[in-house]
Amino acid sequence: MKRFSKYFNFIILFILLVIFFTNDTSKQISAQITSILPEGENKELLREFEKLNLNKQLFIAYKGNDKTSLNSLKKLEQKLLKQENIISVKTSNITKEYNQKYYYLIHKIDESQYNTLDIKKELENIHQKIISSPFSFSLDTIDPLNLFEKNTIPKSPYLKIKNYGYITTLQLDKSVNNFNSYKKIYDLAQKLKHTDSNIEIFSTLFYFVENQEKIKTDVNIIITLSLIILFILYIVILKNFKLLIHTITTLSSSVLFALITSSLFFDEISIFTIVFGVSISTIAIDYMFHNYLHGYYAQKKSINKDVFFGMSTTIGAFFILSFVDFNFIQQLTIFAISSLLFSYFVFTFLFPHLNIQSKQTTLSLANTFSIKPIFITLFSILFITFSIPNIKTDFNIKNLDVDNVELQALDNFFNTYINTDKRTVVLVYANSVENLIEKVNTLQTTYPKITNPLATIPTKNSFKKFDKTRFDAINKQVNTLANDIGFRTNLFQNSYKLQSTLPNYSFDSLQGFPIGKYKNIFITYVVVANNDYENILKEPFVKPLSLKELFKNDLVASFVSLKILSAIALVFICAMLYLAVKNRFFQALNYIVFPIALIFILSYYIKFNILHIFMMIVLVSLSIDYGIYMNNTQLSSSTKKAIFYSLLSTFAGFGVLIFSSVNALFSIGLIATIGIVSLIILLLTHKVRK
Amino acid sequence: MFKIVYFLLFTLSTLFSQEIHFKETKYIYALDNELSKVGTLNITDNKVILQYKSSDKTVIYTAQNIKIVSKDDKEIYTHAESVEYDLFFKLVLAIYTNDTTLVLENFAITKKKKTITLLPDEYLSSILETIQYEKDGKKLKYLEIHFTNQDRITIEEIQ
Repeated sequence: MKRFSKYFNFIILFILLVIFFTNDTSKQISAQITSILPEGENKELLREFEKLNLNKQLFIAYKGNDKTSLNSLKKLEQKLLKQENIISVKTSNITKEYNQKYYYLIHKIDESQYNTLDIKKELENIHQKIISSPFSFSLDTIDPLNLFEKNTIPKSPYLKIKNYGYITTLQLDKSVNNFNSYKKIYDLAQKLKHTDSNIEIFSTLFYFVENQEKIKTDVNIIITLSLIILFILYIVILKNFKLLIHTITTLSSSVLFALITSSLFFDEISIFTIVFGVSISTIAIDYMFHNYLHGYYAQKKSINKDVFFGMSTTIGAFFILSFVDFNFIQQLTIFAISSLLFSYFVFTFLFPHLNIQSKQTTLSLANTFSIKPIFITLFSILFITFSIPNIKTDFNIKNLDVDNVELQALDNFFNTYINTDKRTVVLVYANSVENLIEKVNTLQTTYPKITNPLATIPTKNSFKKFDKTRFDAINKQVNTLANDIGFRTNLFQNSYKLQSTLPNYSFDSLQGFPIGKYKNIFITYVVVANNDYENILKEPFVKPLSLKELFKNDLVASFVSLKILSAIALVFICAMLYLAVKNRFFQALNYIVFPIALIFILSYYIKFNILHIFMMIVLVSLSIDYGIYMNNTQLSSSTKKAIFYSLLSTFAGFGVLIFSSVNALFSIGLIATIGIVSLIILLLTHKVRK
Repeated sequence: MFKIVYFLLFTLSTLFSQEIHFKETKYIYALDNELSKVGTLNITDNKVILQYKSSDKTVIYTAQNIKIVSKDDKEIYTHAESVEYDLFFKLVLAIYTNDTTLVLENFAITKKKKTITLLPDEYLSSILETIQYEKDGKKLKYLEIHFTNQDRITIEEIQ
């Protein structure tokens, strides 16, 4: 049994690895920013919207204004069209069919022409135009009298940009719906760009690929940095390789355990949760150091009262915060509770049986100078009081994403030329397909500039409004007069004849149109001019699609619950603190207020986002452990060392995130680093009683 | 001095200009009728002038715009505003300068012996079906334009 317990730590890791891979937990990991957003109707609608084809366009530009450039663009286009999931932008056949069958319901009546109609004069004019036209006169036999507003002549698919070159647009089909298919298109685009420097290719899908790559690269750098710091700590300072191996094994197991536990609670686990969660799991090293440096492993003792108090306070604070109604915080708190509890049990009950011997270290943290705790308390309260009026919050979730400057520049380049008037996409929803079509058509009446293929579909309303008797009379007159003027017999026989029935619309019959479905809600989008954006959002069936607008209310609500629950967590922490240190309560409190005071200085320079705030809470949970350890009755230099090593480990876990270019990770790293620095200051100025 | 330079330039441009007389036959499906007219095309370095005998209108095509001038009126259009004339003149220039790249933007070009066929791209295919022409040396033997509305124009160089 004794021999067996030596390997128990590795056996646990092996078992967890088997569970992780057999359960396909890795498939639940998502790099999408939406995976951290609050669950609910808005998020589901956003997911449905992403399935619509709007974002699946591929923009291609070729530099050079000469004819050979156009030819090269066409060849490039042909090459891309050979890919099975890239298609040309065409009006769908169903739209063409409706346009022919229900022309008079789809197009708006030209009231002035309709009200002052002189059929004979109009037909004579047409006759004259046909004869004098230099080319062929484009005669509309369906609406020869121009009673309905017509679409303009189709634009060339190759947009000529003065002083640049040519641009064209292709469409990606429905099979392009997951990360692997995005990556294939992205790789192809990069390959083509490398073969010819005149080529530029862009799709908004490239953000998913590049941002994920950037996050992965960042995470790799951060993990390497963490490992270097941990290596220095264990091998160079502690000189205990066995301790390092067992600690890394335990932490890896704790992360796997937390991932498996989280996968039971959530369908999707954000990559941000994992990065942040892995960092949180390193807090547990603190438990190990205290046990190790106080000889618990060498003497095979199990429960360290201070460590138990520290762990309970941290877990308790996370438990309270898990009630914040924000997906990311819920994912993170569950991850943190699972990993910390796992590590605590292993460090407390298994490590004493691993035969780990304490080794002497040369590090000395003797007092060189000390500051009276009351001065630190006063300084902290003063700074907090002055900083509070400056605190501003930033709820734009997009600001937490990767700042992909290069791709944004390319995005802007195509946007400038393709959408000359600035446009934004909004979501339209209704409880049936027919209502959805009605709503899109209503919107088009008020905002004629909006675009959506559904606006080309006849509605019940337009069918009712059509004055069939009057148009039947016009048809008769046109045919009689046309014969007299000299037109071909029966040329206008189908003019102004309306189909007797409307088609039956359903979600299935309108496949090919941008319609999505979530429960009993049908959605589509309309592209609206920026001038109309504010007004269109006032319509009760229109929702914004920007993450900022869509989740603003959710984030504000989450922030309110975060504030309330943080206050509860703070009361809980204070209570635990009092229970642990009693009459040294205010000295221990410095370990909370001093880091907060230093962090609040940031309010003069930045707006606090949700991750800054959350990290502050994590820091407080951590600091309180140190407050307890540093103010207990048996304080020794070993406690100071244990805390110093813990802080180094915490920096390896959290602090290194300050080197990340991903705003979300940087926010965490910034707060963690300031917090760690402030705790080191407290540690060095805290007088050890003899 | 300016007058002399202007006169010299005018004389030179006239010397290098190309005057083409042609007969145009148009079948109009909507009228089920055929119309014929005779006209002149004057091609210089920087413009093309089109005139029909039966009409008092002159159409002038330059790199900047298209002007339609008559006794009492003068209309100026950008190339985008007058798509039909723009295409017609581009075609004329492509044929007489033997530079088909001028219409490359909108057509796929095939050549079979002396016959050149232009197939319109998606953008023009709603109006045009095919364009076909053949030249005999510098002279245009025929130019046939088939429209989707079943109209058809045949142009032959005369003289």
